[in-house]
Amino acid sequence: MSSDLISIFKESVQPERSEIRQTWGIFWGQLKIFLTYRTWFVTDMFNTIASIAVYYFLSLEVKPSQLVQSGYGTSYLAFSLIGIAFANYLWFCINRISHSMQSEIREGTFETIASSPIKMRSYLFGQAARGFLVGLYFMAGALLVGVYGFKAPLHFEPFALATTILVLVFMVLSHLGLGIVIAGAVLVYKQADPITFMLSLFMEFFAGALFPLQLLGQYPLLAYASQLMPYTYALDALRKCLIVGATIANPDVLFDILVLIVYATILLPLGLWSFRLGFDRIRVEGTTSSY
Amino acid sequence: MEKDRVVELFSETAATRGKVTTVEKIVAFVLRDFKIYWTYKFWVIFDVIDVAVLVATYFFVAQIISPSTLIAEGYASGDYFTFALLGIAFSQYVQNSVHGLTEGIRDEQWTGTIETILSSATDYKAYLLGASAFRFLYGTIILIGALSLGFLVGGKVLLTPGTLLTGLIFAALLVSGHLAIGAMSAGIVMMVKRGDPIAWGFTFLTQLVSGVFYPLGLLPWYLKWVGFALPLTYSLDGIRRTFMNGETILGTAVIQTDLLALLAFLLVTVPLSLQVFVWAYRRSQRLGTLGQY
Repeated sequence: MSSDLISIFKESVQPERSEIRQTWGIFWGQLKIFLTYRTWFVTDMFNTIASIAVYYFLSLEVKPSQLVQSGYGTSYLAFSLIGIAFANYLWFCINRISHSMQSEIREGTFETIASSPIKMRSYLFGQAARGFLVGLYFMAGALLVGVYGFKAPLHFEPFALATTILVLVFMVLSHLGLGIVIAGAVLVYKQADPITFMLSLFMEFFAGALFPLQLLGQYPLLAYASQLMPYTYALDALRKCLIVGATIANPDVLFDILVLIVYATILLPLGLWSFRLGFDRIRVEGTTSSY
Repeated sequence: MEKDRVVELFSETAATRGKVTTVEKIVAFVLRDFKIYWTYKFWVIFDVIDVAVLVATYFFVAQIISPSTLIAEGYASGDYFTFALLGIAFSQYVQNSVHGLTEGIRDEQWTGTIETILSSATDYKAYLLGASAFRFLYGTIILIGALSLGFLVGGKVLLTPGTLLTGLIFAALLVSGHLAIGAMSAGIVMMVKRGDPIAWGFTFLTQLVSGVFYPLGLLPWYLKWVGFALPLTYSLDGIRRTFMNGETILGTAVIQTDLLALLAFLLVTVPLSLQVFVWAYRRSQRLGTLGQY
C-alpha cells in the first residue's frame, strides 16, 4: 500500500497555466459546493417570493401620481421589484468574493491556494463568476415571479432587454472593483461583514431602491450623496428599460451607461491594486492562514 | 513551567458563597453577554445606522402612500410613516430576539460552553431566561432609539397615561409570546444543530401576513387567516390603535379582542414551547450530543 501511495504522490501533474482554465476551475469548484446547500436554496426561494408579495400588497397603497412624476410609469410593484431584485443581485455578487475569502481563511484552504500556481486574479474572477451566476438565477427568478405571479408590468422587448443586459454587465463591472477592495481588506483585517453590510444599506437607500429619488430634492446633501453612487445610474437605466421600454438610443440611458463605464474604469484597477497590497502584506507578515 | 505551582493553583478550593438565586444567574448571563457584545463595538454603531437608514427609507416611502386604506382599516390618522415605524420597529425587535436566542445556543454549541453551563447547578429555565435577557434588553434600547428617531422626523403618536399603560401591556405580551417561540426554536436547533426552521418560518410569515408594512385588509381572506394565527398580528394592531388612535384597553372592543387573542396564544404556546425545549434538551442529554455541533 505505502509503495502505491508513494507512486501516486510522485506522479507529476502539470500545473494549469491558462488563466481562463484556472478561473473556470475555481468557478466550478465553488458552484459544486453551493449546490450542496439545498435547504438554503429552497428557503431563499421562499423568502424571495414572500418579499415580492410584500411589495405587491404595499403597492396597493401607493398613489400612482407620485411615481408618474419620476418617469417610471404608475406601478410601484414594478418600481420596487427592480430596485430590490437588482440590489440583491449586486449585494450577492459583491458579498460573494469577500465572504468566500473569509471562509477559505477560516477553513485553512486559502494558504494552499495562495501557495499554488493559481493567479490571484483568476481566483478572484472565478469566485465572482460563481456569485454572478447564482445571483442571476435568483434575480431572474424574482423578476419572473413578479411578472407572471404578481402581474408586474415589465417590458421584455428585444431591444429593451438587450440594453438591460448591457446595463447589467456594466453595473456588475462598476461594482466588482468595490468587491475586490473589500476582499483585500478581509485578507488583512479578517472581517468583511460590517463593511459590506454598510455598503449595501447605503447603496439601496441612496439609489432609491424603494422610493423615487426626486423626494430627496428637499435635502440637498442626501441628493448629492445619491449622485455619487454608481447604483443610482444603474437603477435609473434598468427602470427606464424594463418599465418604460427605453433602449440605448435613449440619451438618459446612454448617459447612465457612460457613467457606469467611468466607474468601472476607475474602480476595477483600483480594486485589483488594493487587493495586491493586502495580499503582499499578509505574505510578508506570515498571516495568510490566521484569522 | 512550574508544575507544582500549577497543581497548587488548580487544587485551590473556590470559596463557595451559598445558593445563587435565579435572578443572580440571569444578571450574570446579561453581564457576560454584554461583555462579549462590547468587544464588537463596530456592530453597535452599525445597528444604530441600520435603524436610522430604515427609518429614513420609510419616511420617504410614506410620501407616496395614500392614507385612505389606513383610515378605512381603522387607523384614524392615516399616517403611513407612523404605521410603518411602529410595525417595522416592533417586528424587528421580536425577530432579532427570537433569532438571537437560537444563535446564542448555536454559538454555545460551537464554543463548547453549553454543556458546561447545563451540567452546572443552572437549570434550563434559568439558562433560557438568561440567554435571552441581554438580547431583549439590547433590542429594547434599539427599539426605543428607532421610535425616538421616527418621532423626531415626523412620526405622530398620542401619549397619555392610558395609552402608555396599554402600549406597555401589549409590548409585554408581545415579548412573552416571542420568548416562547424563541424557546421552541432553540430546542429544535439544539437537536438538529443546523438551520432554524421555526425562526425562519416565523420571519417569513410575519413579514407577509402580520401587517408589518400594510394593513391586513389588503390581504386575501386565506392569508388574513394565517395572519390571525400569529401573535405579532394582534400586538401590532393593538399597539397601532393605542398610539395612533389613542385607544386604551378600557376603550374599544377591537383592542380588547387583540388582548384576549394574545392571552389565548400565550396560554397555548408557553407550556408547549417549554415542553418542546425540555424534550429536545433531555434527548440531547440522553444521546450525549449536547456539546456536538
